[in-house]
Amino acid sequence: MPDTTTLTAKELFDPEFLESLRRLHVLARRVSRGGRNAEQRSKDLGSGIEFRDFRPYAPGDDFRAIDWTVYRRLGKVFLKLYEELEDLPVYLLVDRSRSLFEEDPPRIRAGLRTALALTSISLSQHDSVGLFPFADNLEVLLRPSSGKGRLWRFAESLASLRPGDTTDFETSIRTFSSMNLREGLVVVVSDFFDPAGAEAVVKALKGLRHRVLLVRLWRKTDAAPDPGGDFQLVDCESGHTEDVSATAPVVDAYRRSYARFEEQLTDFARKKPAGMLMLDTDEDVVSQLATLFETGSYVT
Amino acid sequence: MSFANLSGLGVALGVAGLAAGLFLLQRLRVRYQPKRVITTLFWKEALEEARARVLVRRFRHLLAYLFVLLIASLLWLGFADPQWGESEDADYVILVDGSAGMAYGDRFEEAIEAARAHAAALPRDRRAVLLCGSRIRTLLLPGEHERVLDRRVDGITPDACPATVETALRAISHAKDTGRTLNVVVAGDAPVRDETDALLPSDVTVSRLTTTSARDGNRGITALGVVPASSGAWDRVDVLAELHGETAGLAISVGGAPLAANAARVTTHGQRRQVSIRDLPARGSLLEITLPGGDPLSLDDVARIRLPKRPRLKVALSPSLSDVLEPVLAADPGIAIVASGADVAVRRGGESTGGEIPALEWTRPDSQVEAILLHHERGLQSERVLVESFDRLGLEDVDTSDLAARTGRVISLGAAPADRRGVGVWDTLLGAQYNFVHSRSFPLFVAASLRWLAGTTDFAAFVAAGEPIRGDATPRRDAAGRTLDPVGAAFVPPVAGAYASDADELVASLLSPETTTGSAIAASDASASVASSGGADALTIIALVALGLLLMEWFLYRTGRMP
Repeated sequence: MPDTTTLTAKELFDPEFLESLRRLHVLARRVSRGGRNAEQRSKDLGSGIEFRDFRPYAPGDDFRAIDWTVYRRLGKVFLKLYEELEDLPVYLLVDRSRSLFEEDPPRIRAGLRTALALTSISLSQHDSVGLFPFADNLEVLLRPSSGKGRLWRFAESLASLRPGDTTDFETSIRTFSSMNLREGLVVVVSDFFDPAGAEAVVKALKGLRHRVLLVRLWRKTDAAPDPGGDFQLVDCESGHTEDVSATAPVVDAYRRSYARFEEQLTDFARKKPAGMLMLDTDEDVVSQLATLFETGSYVT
Repeated sequence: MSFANLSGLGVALGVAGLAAGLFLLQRLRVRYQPKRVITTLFWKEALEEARARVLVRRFRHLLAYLFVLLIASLLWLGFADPQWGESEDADYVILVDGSAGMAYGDRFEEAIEAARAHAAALPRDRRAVLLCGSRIRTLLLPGEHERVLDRRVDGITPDACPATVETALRAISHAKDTGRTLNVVVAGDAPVRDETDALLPSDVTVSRLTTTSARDGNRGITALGVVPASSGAWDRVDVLAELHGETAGLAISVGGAPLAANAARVTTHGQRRQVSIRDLPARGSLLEITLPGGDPLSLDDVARIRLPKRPRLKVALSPSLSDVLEPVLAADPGIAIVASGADVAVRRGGESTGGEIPALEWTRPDSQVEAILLHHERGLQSERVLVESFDRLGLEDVDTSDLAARTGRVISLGAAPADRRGVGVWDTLLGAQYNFVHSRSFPLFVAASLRWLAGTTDFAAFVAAGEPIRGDATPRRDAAGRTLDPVGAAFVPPVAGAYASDADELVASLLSPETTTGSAIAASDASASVASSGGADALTIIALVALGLLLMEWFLYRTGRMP
């Protein structure tokens, strides 16, 4: 397992990555020419967000304004246009459980880069961003704040994350909810592999009174693993072991179980409604985000 | 196909056992290799959904099972040591010719190698290898691995003896199991004549493993004999030798002293050379004939013979018998009539001529029942003495019927133990009216009786390895100190060398024209040739196939195509 705990902010967010973030900003700013949807001004702080209209998604639009329900019904990406929107806070809930630090490369690398990219975009649009890493519980690493100059502070904070223990969505979300933060956009960056199962994850997420974007860190092998023989599989978080002989029926049962997991998350996103970004951790993060902003094809 | 180590049923049961064992191994739970994963969430659900609640696992990997079963079966077959094309009802004996002829060049080594290769191709528990030299020795018993041969033949060279394969062939044919075929394979040049083959049982087959070769360029001594001197001198002998090839460099010595070159006379008869040496002193010296080496076969380049000792027999003659017997004794060149110091005496019964020495006594008919009575040493059986002496004393030439008719009495022969040897004969037979003293048998009877009384034996005129010595049944010791007892039959020196008894010593030589000339090789041979087992045997083929399959299994496993 690669030791990501020793990586610094400079190593995680190298110049090439930071340069690519600027291009991402350009994509994000284009949306302002078609209508304000990000740098909102609020008439009454604390009274909520006022809906005005829909319009088709255009490259560069703010991903936070995408209407996921319309997308699922019509198969096209529309943006909700709001009146007097300003300072929509973004709460980044970054999973730092042990599973994110396993494998090569570890998923946490893509997760951290995604978090920083979203932070960078939000800060550039004068939104406040808070950083809440979690594993078996949630903690406050950076309270919500705005200002473009704070990006490097976020980068260093993200780089300072160390592996936690098991994933516990229920406890972590309950902790987050108990903070009674102003309604905003909760971005959950995780693999969502909670030992309690997808039901516990969905149940916890349902308790959020914010708009929700799920960033799923996944790999192609998640859906179709092949241990290739007889193995005693050891869960890196819980230490739980399973003796597995990867016969065709067992692998088929695995695929069905994984499909149910995906279906439960998708069903949650559909009903919430919430956004879900499938981020392939083996591919370049920025290019996937750019595709999201340009076409919305990564949004379900 | 048969198997050297197992029966066919054993092989089948073994394969079935392997199949069952591997099947059970496939069904039993396996030892799992630990592997760290980011979550076991989905595996746990999958196993709960797919796991069978039974003791054993569901059978899986059929192809892998068949593959491993194939490898295991091949290894089992290799252990069984299959033999292709061999009947289970046949035994196999390989006779390696270890006679003198195999010393020709590398013939012996070639025969050993051919025997080993052929033995490897035969069922191990039903084949044996025998060495046919001066005696028959077992090189490989049934069940022994052919590699044992290397150790067994280490230091063994062909013996200076004629071929003994036919002797071995007859012996093993008689000793073979009934109801089973015996396949005899000869490795070497020893001939198997048609007449020998005809005497073998019908279920004995003879074949030849190696091809024979002619003895081109070889020369050797094929005969060496001693005869009384043609000059008539009793204490001298003539020696006759026969050689094959040129006599250049021929050397002859008597008692270690070289003989003058002009002492031998050579006559030529084609490739044969006869060498005669006359009037050699008969004093028991060792005569040796040597040909210079350099030819492919050295064992026939030297021959030795012990010359006889022939002193004249000293006889004390009673004056009362001189008119009848002195002419007879004087006519015998081996007898000298002496007044004192005699070896034997000729006298009338009751006389003391010569003193207490063995005597031919002419006695009154009323003093002994038998016409001729032999007195022999105590401890011997009289009947046996009678049988052995009948020919030796020339009694068969005596016309006993005529004597009986003329004397009106039964002419009988008897034997009795006594302190010393003696021959008692009715003195009445000396009468002219009985025509005994004037018969041709009388001088022979007197001469033979006196020599029997003196213990004189006939000398061996021809002493060759493998040839019986007529009239000599004496137990003898060979050079290694082993006693060879002919048990009443004629003594046969098995190999060239010296054989001593308490009384004398025989020196035997090879003296085998067939060995020297190779004539028997070229003669009609009843043995058909068999092909030497060339190429890889079944065990090697099986091992190679199993190795290939193991490599394939390793490759499939490494490439993830096999669990």
